[in-house]
Amino acid sequence: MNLKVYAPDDFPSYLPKLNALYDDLFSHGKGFRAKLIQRISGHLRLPDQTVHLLAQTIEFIHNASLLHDDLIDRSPLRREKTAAWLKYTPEYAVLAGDYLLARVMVNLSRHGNLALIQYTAEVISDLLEGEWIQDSLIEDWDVSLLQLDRVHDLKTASLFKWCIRSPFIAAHNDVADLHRCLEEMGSLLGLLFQRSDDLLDFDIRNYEGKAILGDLQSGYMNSFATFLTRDMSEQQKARFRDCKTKQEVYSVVGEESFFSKLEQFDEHNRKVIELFEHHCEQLAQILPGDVQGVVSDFKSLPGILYWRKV
Amino acid sequence: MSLQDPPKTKPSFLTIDRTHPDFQKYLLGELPNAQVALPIQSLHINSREEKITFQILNRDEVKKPSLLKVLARLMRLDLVGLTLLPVVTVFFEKSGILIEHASFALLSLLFLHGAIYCRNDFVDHLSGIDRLNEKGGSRVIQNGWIRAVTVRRLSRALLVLAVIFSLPVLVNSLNLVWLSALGGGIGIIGYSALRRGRELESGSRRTSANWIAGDLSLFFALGPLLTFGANIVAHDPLPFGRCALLGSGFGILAVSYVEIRHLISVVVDDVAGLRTLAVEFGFDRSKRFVACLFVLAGLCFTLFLVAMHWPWWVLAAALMLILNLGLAIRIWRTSSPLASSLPNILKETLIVHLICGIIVIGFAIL
Repeated sequence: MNLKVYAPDDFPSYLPKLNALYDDLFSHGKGFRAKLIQRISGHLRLPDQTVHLLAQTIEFIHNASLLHDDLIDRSPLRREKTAAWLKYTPEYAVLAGDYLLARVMVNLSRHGNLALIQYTAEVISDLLEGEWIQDSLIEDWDVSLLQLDRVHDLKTASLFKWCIRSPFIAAHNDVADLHRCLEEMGSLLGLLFQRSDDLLDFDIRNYEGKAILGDLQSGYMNSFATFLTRDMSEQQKARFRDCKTKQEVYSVVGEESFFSKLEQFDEHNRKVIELFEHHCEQLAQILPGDVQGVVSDFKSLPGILYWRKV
Repeated sequence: MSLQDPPKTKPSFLTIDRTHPDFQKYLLGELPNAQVALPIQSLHINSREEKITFQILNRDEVKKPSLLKVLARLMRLDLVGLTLLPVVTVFFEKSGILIEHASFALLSLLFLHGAIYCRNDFVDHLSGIDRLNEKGGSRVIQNGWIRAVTVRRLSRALLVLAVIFSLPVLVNSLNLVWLSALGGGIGIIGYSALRRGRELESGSRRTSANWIAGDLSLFFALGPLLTFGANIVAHDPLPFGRCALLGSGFGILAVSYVEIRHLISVVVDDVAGLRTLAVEFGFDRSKRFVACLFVLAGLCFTLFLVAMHWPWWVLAAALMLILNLGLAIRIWRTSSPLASSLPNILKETLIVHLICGIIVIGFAIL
């Protein structure tokens, strides 16, 4: 499925830098969110064109946020390549992100499902609010886990909520209980995904060998950093902030203490996974028999998103 | 996300809606003694048709501090200075005040303070506000330390004690009866307004008038009403103007404290549809308003001290102004409702409130 082009007027050839910019960005992505939508849509037996639209929508929103994020954070790399704002210009990175969001609105409005358009607009708004608030927390070294959870619910979780709700909206299923349950599950998935991503930054379950400590070096205390440092003295925190390598982190925190805190963090998130499983059981009671397969797909998500099991 | 440590067996969750026959039992904590049902805080916005997920634990699996610590937290003894200090400062103005009168008055206020906070915790738990905001309330009910129904009973018992201990004071200071009635009226109006502003439903009931009335009643209840009441009990050691200034200083700091709490929870409150100053005017304008409140409080205390014991009043006034200005500047510079500086400013507001009280007491002793 070519997610880049849904409508004939997506990515016209007279905008060459835009095409190259998007190909650079998109080529190394895993497309996890699009695959999740395809799985769920399969159980709902949505038409292929609708599935294509949904998959493109989420990838466009996600990639737009990445383009803007990298510029805001001044990140030099994205998916092991030079970030778009650096390779092209900051102006093109901004415009490219705006273009993707504009195409989302064009394609969705042509599709004509008003509930889907409304929900998508709300999610984009939430995403931007989360980004805005997160930016206000740069160099705030005492931010709490609760405060970060609020940001992540707006930023990360909103896309997961969209992934699991939009196929049902596209199928014109507007059962309130169902959507409340899915919304709750989306929040938990987003939380788990973000926390796993934050652990990656400390080289935990970093199976793809991504660059580490990027958040710390950008002046941002992610959820695991916040958890690690919550009982530290001000001097220790100051030393922690200056860490450039994993070994330096171990020397500040203590290697044994680091892994002990990791166990506690994992334990905390296991409880979140248990709560998610409970909501899966609730979902099974709401869904009709012919779409129960969705529930087993959902049950496998924490393993993929948090424990990074493929 | 606040979940208790898992029991030795797999934790049990239960999701029920308000139409479930046992819904109230779970919410009030009226389960068999061996069990506790903890409402799980949801990041998702609640509505009247909401379903609540409870984590069901055995009572012995709930880790809780000592009963004394639990009660201290439930009765918000960390905030008792807001209630008692205005009264104590006025009592110190009167040399030779009868210890019995002062003691009964202070005990009555202490019990009233506890009764109001217990009641607030209970109501916020039932309405769901404290499930939306993980920092809201004392968390004693949400942590499973005391059942909601017990908190309600405690609130009533404390109110009865407050009334009993107030009787000797009222008998000896009949003017206090009128002030108490006025205070009660303001308290009821303000409390009702605050509760209406905190209801989780849409509609015309949630208006600006609610939070304005709430703030004004808070100002009076924790400021001038307390100082005027103490002044009556102590047989008028302070002239009207100075009593009003002292009360205003304390009252403004109390309102500042509450508004900073609203700034911290503005994201949750806005999404939930609660109407506070911070939601109404936005974070930026509200923080500037709070900064102005600090300046105003500093001025009130300064004017109160004017012409008392030269040159010490100048030094004391300068200190009070500096402390309040310091808080004003810091809150003005805060960049985000989620900034970690806000909880620190909140704690320091209480400290400044205490320092101002101590300075006033110091002058009274001089």
